Amino acid sequence: MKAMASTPLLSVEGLRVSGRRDGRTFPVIEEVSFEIQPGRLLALVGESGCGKSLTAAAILGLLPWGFAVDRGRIILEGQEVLGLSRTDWRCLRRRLVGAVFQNPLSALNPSLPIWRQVVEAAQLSFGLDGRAARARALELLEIVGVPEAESRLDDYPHQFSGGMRQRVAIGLALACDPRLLVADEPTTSLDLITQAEILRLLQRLQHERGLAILFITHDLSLVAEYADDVLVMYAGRTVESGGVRPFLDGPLHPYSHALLGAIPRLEAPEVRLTDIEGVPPSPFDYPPACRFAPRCLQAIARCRSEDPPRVGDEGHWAYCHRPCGPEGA
Amino acid sequence: MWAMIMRRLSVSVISLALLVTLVFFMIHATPGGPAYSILGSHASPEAVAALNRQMGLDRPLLDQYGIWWDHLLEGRLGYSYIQHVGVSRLIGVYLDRTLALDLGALALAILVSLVVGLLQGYWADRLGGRIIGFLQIVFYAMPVFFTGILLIYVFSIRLDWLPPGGVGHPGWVGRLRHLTLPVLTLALPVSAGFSRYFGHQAREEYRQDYVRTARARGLSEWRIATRHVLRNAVRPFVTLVGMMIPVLFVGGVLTESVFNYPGLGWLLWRSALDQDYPTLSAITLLIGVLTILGNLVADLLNSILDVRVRYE
Repeated sequence: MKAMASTPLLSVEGLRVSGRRDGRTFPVIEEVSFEIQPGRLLALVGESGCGKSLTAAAILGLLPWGFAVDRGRIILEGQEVLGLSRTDWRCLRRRLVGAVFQNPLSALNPSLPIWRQVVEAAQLSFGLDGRAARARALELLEIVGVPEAESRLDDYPHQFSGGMRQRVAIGLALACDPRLLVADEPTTSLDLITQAEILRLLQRLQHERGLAILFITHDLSLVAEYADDVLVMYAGRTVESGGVRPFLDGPLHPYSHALLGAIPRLEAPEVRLTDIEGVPPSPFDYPPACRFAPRCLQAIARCRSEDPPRVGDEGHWAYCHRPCGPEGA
Repeated sequence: MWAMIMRRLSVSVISLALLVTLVFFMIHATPGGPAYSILGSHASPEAVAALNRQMGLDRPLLDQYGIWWDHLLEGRLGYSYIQHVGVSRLIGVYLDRTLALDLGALALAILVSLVVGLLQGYWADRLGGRIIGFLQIVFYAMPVFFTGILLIYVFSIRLDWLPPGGVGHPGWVGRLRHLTLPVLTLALPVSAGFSRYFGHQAREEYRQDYVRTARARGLSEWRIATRHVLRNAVRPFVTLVGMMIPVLFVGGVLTESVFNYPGLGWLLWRSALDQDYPTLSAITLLIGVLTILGNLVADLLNSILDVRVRYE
């Protein structure tokens, strides 16, 4: 029983995605590994450009033209997906993986009534007829909490508010009862109240349906409240990973430490917010060895010459020569 | 919607009246006159004057204009000076040949540009998209008489598959065989223009987030193209097609003369040379009506297709 529960729903091993520029191939993300268990929410955290959305795109088969996975494995419910044909991989994804994105205003087709969009994937996967499809659409809209769902089935996206559209978009992602939901900054463009509602909806789905969620965000304040596990990315690599409590209580990597220092806290108003000097490097110009070294206040000569070792234990680890102690460095 | 149609139609009537007035004075301002075409350029001034008096062309221009309007309002388009037939009858004979050519070319051009445009949008910055973009410019710039003659050389002279011109004997097969090359010739530059425009629309739509959502849902590219992108990209395209109908007609004039295909375009060209005033004005009026109808139909289709307009 215990062994069953610990079988990951999604496991990514040593993923590398490369992009081309000027005829040369550059790895944009490298050595990215993580697992998600059913019913858990993994927060993938990092600044913009760190490769977190590209990681999600690789899992969703949505890599932009010119980018390709050229190393590593993606295992979904025990099945290695990168070896599948395009069509098989697409159909597997359609049943098992849902996705929600940042901008709900443009995520829906403006000229199709929403019920058609909501059930489209389910119709293709299960061959529902017209009446069954409509019933399924109603069911989905009720699950995501669209009020008076029945009378809104034939409405078009522009007749919904931003928050409602994001609910519809989540309903659309749930059409085939997926096991995994990839949520790429799903609340970034929403106001704070709507943001909280959407996050509570995701949390409810996670707990009630055992949905695994890969939650991509740059907002660490959400992590404390909603995440079970955290993975921090910097410049295309994972720098730290662990359960949310050990991570928040004692981040190991100076980068995580700095990120946490950049969140305003109500309970300690007199503490100065720290921010990180400099900008993240471009994928075409990554520094050698530790990629955070040029911006790191703790960096020593070795950080610029040797790849950082993995420190910590199985439940919470980081790649760093000079990890922070329990009280911070 | 009816209010919109009525408003549009009343504006259209005014523009039509202005158009025919302009054309009336322009053709009467050109030197020469139909009498020379009928009697030959060496006719004596007396004979020309006599014929002009007989046809009423010696009266003051404003009188002629008034008479022409009276007749028009009674629904009479007059008689052709050259062919001695009522203009409406003349147009009736030539119109369906032109309609077969123009509508055939229009249908082909729409079909081709939908397929090519979707591919171009899908390929956007890739090699395939660039090759399509290059070919569009080449075919758009190629004059109709050049393509026409090229096609005649290849398919009529070299391969002897299709007739080089004329309308052929009555009957489906013969008419279709005679239509094939003119339709291709006319459709080629129109397809190039249409597909460039539609390809641009499709490309914009492919950049929208809903395409990413559709892909994330595991829909096939075929389904995304036909069910999602096409639906949104086609709206401005409908407007363009409506606007292009008169241009197509004018392109047909050249095509008809290259293939010696006796349609309205050919008739327009002949009557301009002969200064056959009644025929020329009537065809101009017809082109004007087609332009206005094309735009109106495009706008109506658009308001039906656009859910946002429909619901307001």
